[in-house]
Amino acid sequence: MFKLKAPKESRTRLRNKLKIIDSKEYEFVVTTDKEYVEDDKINIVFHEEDAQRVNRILNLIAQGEDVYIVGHSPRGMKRIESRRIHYFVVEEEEVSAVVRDGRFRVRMKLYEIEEMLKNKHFIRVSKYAIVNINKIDYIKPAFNSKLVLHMRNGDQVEVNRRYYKTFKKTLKL
Amino acid sequence: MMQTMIRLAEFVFNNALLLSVILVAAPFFMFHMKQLFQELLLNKKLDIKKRVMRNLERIPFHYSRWFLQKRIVVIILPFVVVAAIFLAATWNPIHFEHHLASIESEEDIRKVHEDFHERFYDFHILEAESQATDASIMRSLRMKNPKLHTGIDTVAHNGEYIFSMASRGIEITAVDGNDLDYHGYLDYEDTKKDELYHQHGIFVDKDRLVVLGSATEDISPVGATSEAYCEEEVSTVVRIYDINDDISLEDTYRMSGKVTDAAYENGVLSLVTKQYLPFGYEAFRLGDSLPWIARGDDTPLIQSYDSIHYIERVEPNSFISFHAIDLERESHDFRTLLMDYQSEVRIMDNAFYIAANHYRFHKITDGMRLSDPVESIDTSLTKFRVDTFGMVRHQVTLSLPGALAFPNGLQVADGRILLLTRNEDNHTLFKLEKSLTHATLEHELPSHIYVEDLFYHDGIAYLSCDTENAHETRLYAITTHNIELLSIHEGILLTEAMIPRTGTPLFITLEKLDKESLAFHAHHYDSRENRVVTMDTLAVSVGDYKFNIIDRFPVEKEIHMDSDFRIVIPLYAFTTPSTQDSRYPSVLFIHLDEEGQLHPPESLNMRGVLHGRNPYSYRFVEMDDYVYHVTPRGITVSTEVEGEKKIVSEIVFP
Repeated sequence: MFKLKAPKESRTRLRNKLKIIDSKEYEFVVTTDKEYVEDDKINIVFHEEDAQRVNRILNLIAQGEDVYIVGHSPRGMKRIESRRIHYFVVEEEEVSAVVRDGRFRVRMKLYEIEEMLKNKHFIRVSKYAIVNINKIDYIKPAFNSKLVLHMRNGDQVEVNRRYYKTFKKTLKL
Repeated sequence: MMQTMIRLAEFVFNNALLLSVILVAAPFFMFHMKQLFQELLLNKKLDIKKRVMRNLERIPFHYSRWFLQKRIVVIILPFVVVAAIFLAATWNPIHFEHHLASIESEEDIRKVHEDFHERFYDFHILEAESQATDASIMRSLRMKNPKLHTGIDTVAHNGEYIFSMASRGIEITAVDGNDLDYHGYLDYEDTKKDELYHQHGIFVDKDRLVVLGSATEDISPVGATSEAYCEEEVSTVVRIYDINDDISLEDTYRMSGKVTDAAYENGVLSLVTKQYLPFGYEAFRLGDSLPWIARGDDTPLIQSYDSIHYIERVEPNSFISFHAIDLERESHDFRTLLMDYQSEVRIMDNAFYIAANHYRFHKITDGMRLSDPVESIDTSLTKFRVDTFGMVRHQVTLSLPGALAFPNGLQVADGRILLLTRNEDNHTLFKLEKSLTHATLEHELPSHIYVEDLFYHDGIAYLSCDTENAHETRLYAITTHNIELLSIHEGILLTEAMIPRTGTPLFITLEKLDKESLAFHAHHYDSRENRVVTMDTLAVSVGDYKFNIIDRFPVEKEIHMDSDFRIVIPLYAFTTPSTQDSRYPSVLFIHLDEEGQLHPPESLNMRGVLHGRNPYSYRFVEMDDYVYHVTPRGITVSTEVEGEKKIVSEIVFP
């Protein structure tokens, strides 16, 4: 997403301040020197003393626009911010959105959700589940080319063999 | 290349169990290792991905307690198992128990045998190889002449008759002073058809003549073409003749196995028989090879399994039975050990002393075969005694450091036992009392000697041995005051004697100087100077006595010291020029004076009547004023006439 470009002597310092991990396929160039500007990218040129503010801006850019999902529970209907959702799962032919301490029924098809959240770090892991990469706590390989995802709320979601390669590819930078 | 392939195949064959364990464990290990690396990689990538996505809720990736406690344990388990095996290999907790272990069944014997041999890597794939080894051992055991200890020899007498062993029977000669009367030839009429009989020794007990021999019976199946272990069955035969009036067979004992040691003391005939167990043959049936004894025509008494014992860590490849035949009580008893056929056995004062290598294995060989599984070798020394009721009892078993020095590493004399053991650095000579309750380390000797024989007399041990540098047998003495080998002289020990005036122990050696001369040396140990002193040397020109070549040196039992302190030495020589008929045995009488000085010998030629018997053997029997020179061909009587040795009569056996 981002690439930090700065003179050697200040690069590490800036990286620590801005908490930037360089991506191979980046859209944004973050630099303190105009000479590093790239024409075909979005360039953020700043003075080092503004690093804290730039950090907040970078967070906003990374989070992107909020997407909300409408969820239903016995207590009623609720708009749930997508980044709060751990995963979506199909249970008894109905799609549920699982959050930290509960679940909501979602009246959408799973492929519709996948399409909607494809730029929000959600990934299809099986025919029945889409998970939020940010909510994965630990990945444990299982037998038969499968993975078990330990989610932050304690649930476990299985990465199906069919989606195994896609999942691994998504994790690549 | 082929050799390497065979070795590889043998390794696989010998360690199949261990290899299969490794083969099974290896895929699990590989799988778990792959899982581990994949797990680490995926979680690392997840962590980076979250940081790239600037995940504000991101919790840094760490190895959870769960991961450490369970996952790693599972993954490294195969390592732990293998490491445990190797750790165990370096720590050897074996505690030797020197008591006799019991056997209950055939299964036990096979298990003891397998437990011992499965440690060795040289377990051949081809049955033929182990069969060849077994066949060779059994052949050598059959061919080996037994050691005749106290009381048994090839010639015996009762004052009235002289009995001497011939090829298949006993020559009997009535003697009365210089009168010799050929009495007859004792043949073994009870020998079975298809049985080859060898006699080994005889002795006279009051009114009985006892003949010890072994019989080899051909029991090969009809039409058998290949040499099989079961073709021949060797048994030991004891014939007891009544010689009071006429000579008649009174009793017989027949027992399984080849006699290897025998002694007659205090009315008890002690015998050791060995039966090699050819486990290499598939057809070998242990149940048919149990030791047995039969008296006369009685049904053989077969040793039961629970009467057989073994000493732990001694190679269990044969049955060694210890028999005691009490001629007075007319009773018999025997005990059997599952033991190494190479054990050294000595008999002294109605007790059997058995020395054998006692192996200490690397602990790893509990689960793996090695080409050299032996960590160290000790010597096990066991004593069986014949009690006052004629029963054979186990008395004690102990272990001493170092492997048994073969051959003749065990010697008994004067109520003491000498045991010579060897290790990489030296030889160690132990002296033990006959109770075996106390062993003292007497001497440490160089490792480069090869002990040929070991004598013991009056506190001095004599070793006849080769050294690396001089491939000649040399004689050494070791005393309680001296830790170095005292070189006595080149040559062989002829006999032990004493200085008539002082009673000081003396020993006589014979040295062949050149083609025409010999030298006799008299030595004694000077305890003040701590060295062996040569008291006198007597050079003898063989030409003076019409000797030219000595075919062989006399053996110990052929040398005697008579009542007049004359050392009687038989020599087999021939005159010059050499012709077919010029070969004859002769006897030298070397006089030892009061001070232990050697005087020029007198000689007696046997007048040519004793030619042509091979092997030549000589025994000297002294009765009253007469000396009877007994050879396989006849008897010559000599006596002193007018101060000179003269032959007064002779008899040639028909």
